[in-house]
Amino acid sequence: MQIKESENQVLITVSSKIYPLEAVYGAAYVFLNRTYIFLDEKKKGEILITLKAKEKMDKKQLENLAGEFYNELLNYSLRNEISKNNQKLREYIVSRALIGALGEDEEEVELEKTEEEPEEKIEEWKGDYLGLSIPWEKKFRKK
Amino acid sequence: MEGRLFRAFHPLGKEVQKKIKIFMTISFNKNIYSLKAIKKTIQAYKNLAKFKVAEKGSYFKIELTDIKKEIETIIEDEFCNYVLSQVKE
Repeated sequence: MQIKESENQVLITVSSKIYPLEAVYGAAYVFLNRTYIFLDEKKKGEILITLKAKEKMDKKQLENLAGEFYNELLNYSLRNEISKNNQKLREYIVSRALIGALGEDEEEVELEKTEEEPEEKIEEWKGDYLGLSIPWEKKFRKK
Repeated sequence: MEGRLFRAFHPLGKEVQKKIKIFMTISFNKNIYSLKAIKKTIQAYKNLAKFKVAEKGSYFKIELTDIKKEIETIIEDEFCNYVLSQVKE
């Protein structure tokens, strides 16, 4: 770790074997609002991280910043590892959930269809008070 | 990251413009930064400066010219941060 107080920045070198690049991206993303971050490859397998504080910091504060970054690196490395280990299990759970949801959807669609059908209101027969059922010939037959 | 300052001079040696014209070059390692992320950032910053992308060895060299006066001190750092955020996404 190299602190450049005059430039308000701290340089960190990490091994990509210990901290994968994904973890570096993750940790850097967390610090984007507080610092300007620049990544470079020093040697093969060594990542140089430049943290430049947006606000003026003294040596102690820059040291703390680097410490926090290391912690975040560790945090993301572990996350990455767990994510890799659980990948198959997660995929299985998601696929099961999707299949389940698909089945429910089909049932819901069927239910909606039956609900949407308009119910015919059958009124009770109140008698042919208009005389509609009487044939025309019969009704107007010359007597 | 490199930054250079240039002054414009008349052929007779007189300074014709007091305005300092700045151009800078940022080198992004190919193993860390993707060209897609850089292009997205350039798209977002296109109204603030002119950009030229070149490849040199294991680096993408981005040349910034005609940088807006108000942001010339921070554009380099902000640009790097934006590229990083795009890489993560």
